[in-house]
Amino acid sequence: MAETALSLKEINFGYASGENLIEVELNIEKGEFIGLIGPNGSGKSTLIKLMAGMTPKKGEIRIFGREVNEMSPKELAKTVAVVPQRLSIDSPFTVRSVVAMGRNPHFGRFGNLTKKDLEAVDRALAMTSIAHLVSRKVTELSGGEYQRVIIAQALAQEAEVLLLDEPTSHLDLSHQLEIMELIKELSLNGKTILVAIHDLNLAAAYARRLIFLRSGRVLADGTLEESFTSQNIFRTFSVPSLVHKNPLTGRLFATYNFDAAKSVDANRPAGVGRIHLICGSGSGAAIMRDLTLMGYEISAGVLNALDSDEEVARALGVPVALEAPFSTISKEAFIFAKELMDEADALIVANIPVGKGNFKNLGLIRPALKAKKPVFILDETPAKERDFCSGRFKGLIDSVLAQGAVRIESKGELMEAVNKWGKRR
Amino acid sequence: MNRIKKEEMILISLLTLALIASIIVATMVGAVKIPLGFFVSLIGATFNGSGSPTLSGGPDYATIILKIRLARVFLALLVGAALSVSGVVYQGIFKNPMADPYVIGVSSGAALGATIAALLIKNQSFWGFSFITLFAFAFGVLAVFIVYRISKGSGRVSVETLLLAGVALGALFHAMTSFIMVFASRDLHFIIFWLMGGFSSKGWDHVLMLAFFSSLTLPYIYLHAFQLDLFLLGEERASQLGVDVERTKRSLIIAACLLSAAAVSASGIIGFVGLIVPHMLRLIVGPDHKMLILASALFGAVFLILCDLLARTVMAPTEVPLGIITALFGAPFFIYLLKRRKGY
Repeated sequence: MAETALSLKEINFGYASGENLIEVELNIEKGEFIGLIGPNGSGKSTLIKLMAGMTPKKGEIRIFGREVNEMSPKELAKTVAVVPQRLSIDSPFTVRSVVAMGRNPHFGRFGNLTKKDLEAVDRALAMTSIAHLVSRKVTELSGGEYQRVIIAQALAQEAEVLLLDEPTSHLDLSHQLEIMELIKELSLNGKTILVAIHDLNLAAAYARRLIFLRSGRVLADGTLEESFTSQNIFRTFSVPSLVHKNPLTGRLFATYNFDAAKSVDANRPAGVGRIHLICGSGSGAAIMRDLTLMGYEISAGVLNALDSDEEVARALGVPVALEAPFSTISKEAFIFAKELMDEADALIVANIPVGKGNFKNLGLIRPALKAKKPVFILDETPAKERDFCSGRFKGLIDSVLAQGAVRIESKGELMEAVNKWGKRR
Repeated sequence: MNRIKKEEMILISLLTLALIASIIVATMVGAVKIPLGFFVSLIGATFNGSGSPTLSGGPDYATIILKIRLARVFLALLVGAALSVSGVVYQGIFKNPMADPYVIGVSSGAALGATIAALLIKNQSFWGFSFITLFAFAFGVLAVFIVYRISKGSGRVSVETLLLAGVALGALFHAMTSFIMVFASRDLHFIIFWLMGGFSSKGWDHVLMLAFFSSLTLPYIYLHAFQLDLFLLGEERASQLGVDVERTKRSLIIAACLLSAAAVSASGIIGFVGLIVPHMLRLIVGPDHKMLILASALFGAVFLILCDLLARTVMAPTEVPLGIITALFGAPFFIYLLKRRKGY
């Protein structure tokens, strides 16, 4: 059981007259690496300032069990170090002076640097690789160098908890990665880290826990795998996205779709329904992508392993009823697909070629109709041309269409029909 | 920072030498010129413990040196150091290059106090201090106190409000001073000269008074040099780095206020020293306050000793008010600073 580093209990913060800008309840354990995510004005900076000792309107903030307002500023600064978002130093201090300022909480009465202080300063300079800049003036540094000086100042505090507010904004790609690698190293050394960050993929690449903040409230909070979902991204930023696992790195990453963003009603809550999809051989990839972007939950199957649709489904985190490669659908796989369909609210049959191997999938249609779930059959290529089981497919389609399934002629039409249905719900 | 670099050691040594040289020159030069030989033998005699040497046929050089010149030189030394260091503190705390001992109300308060005392009880004294000095000091401190109270909103002292309140209260006090002057035609000349500042007719009692306040506040300020460095990063950052911002701000303002009020009550209004000396030294030694305080104190002392020397010799036997001399140097420099200012 890890020790609690920071706890915020029933915290309210806001200006005296206005409403509460922040209402949070949080627990951070020692050694965690947390990404704090949220739009501009969502309260990330305020939350960090609260953790660093700003007094809330209501609630209790504890750091390693001690209440913050009972700690002296020096004690607090020995435990929590902050890298502020905007810190402009107009005075031409040398880099060494600025970093040495981080030792202030450790000074005795006469404010002299001891050997221990000088060593801590040297360590901070080395970790941020700015030892060569010590006698340069901070007013003459580049953005990346300057940011590293500010981080070094916070490191010189040798605090257990490090709170970083947008440490990578205004930096180019390589400097961003450099800073994140440095933070990762600090985390590996046992520091407790919370970093507010705009770049979701940078957050996902480094943090092990994500906190999504919107309008001063925590929308989602969990491990990277639990919380880095397109739903949470949509709820936080109103931007549709796909979260996949990068096949090369195995890391989660998000891509955003701004065309879809226009077509999606931002006020509509995400995840209005779950749709089961019968697809295969690439016929389902685009449908899965678009439906995910629109906020629907998807399941699919039965699919053969190694089918291109199966790969897409896996990347999107879509649950799939799976069958061995190139095999006829087994009873077990079908039962699982049926379970997925039972949990879904609608069924889509993609524009698939149907042969002996996958004909069994269509057995999901009748139960769906029976359960009064809408069934959309995408029929871009005439069924007759896709029928590789001597007319049985064409016959089935005709009969289910007669029983209430909806025939759709194009993908665009399909999305319209699904949305219409989704809105009615 | 406790790493005083070699160049900084050299600068401090040079300033110390300049201070000693200016003390000697300012003691010797004046309406009565004192021969170097006499000066040396006086110092020798003082160290030997033998009585003051006399030169046959000449004026009483020893009395001139000990009773008049030295007191005056040391007063200039202390006032220069006090005004400069309090200027460093105000500019540091307020992160504002225009702040000086006068902006936050010390001078206007002291002027009003001195004017009231001149009108009412000019020739009385209390424990050896004229009421003019006492009133000037009390009103100087009072003005800062009022300004401080105004700017203290909900527990936090706002720097902007403090400076603006200082300007506003200054205007009010100036108006009151002028109002009194209208009715004080008998003492008008005296008041005007007091307001223009200077060291004529000031003696060892003033030196002792100022030495007392300096020994109280200067070490305190010097020990807080590092906190002043941190204030330059902004109050929020200073607080994040463990500075008790409100407490430090309050105690440093009190220290600087006592220091500058003592200086003003002893010398009258001497403008620009507290403004330009910190700026000049900042250009030379950089923003680290430990060095800045030390260098400003020394340079301010030298600067004011030399200005006073000029004030009493340039039109001798008439004395030019010291405030005029410092303003003649200060105003053009101030304008130059405004032109080249690129951040603080």
